Amino acid sequence: MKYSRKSSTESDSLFSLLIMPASSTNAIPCAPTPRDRRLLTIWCVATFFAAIGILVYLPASTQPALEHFSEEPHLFTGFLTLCMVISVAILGIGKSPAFDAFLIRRMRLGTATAATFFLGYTFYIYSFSTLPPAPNAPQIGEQAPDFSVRDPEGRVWALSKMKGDTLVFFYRGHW
Amino acid sequence: MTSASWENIAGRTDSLKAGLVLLSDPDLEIIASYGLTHGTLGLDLARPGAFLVDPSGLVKWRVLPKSWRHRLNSQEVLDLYTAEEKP
Repeated sequence: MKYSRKSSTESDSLFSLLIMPASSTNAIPCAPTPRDRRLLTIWCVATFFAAIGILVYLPASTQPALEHFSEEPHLFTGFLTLCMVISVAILGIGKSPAFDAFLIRRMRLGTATAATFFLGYTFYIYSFSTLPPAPNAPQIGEQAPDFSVRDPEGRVWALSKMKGDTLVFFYRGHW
Repeated sequence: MTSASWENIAGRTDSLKAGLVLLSDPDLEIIASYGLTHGTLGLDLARPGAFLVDPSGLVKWRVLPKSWRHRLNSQEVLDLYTAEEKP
């Protein structure tokens, strides 16, 4: 034989898997229709947004101009949930005979990655950063605990010595 | 009131451009007396909170966010304060 066949290890190497659709070995069963292309585009966009949600949210919500974003994340969460649903739905029921095994594998990987980031986002926003009730905090109409603090210049700041209304503000850093 | 030390908060009030007094409570004694200690990842901090105290020492109103991501901003304080003064 004049031309030796490619060895199987060569064609199955990781590099060739990443850059080359498996169509060289598995012929595409049928040509993609415009609907298939649209579905794939929507899947890509939805999966991308669902995955980058937390990476956008964390830095953006610390910007003073976007404080509302941090207080009311429900709209953003709704958008990410929609993206996640679309990503799973297209992978689950929108598959077409034109999507070959290579593409399906990559779509599964993409949707799984997006789901991981999305679950991280929901856990962080709705569980990790949620505070338990503060039953020992003074109620409205109750006596506020007095305090007296001496600053490094020797001045004494006592709540009972303040004139007029005093706002006692517990500060946790500007982030 | 913050759990940060005096050294750490020096100059912080100026950088925030706020006409307020920032006091340090490194041992969290005052923070604990207000029932606001909270730990995230083992750090002991105050959960964000605000109390308006009248001259006789009674709490007029308070704001205790449910998430530590929520910080009361100056506009919210002003709105609450003017709402309190109106009637």
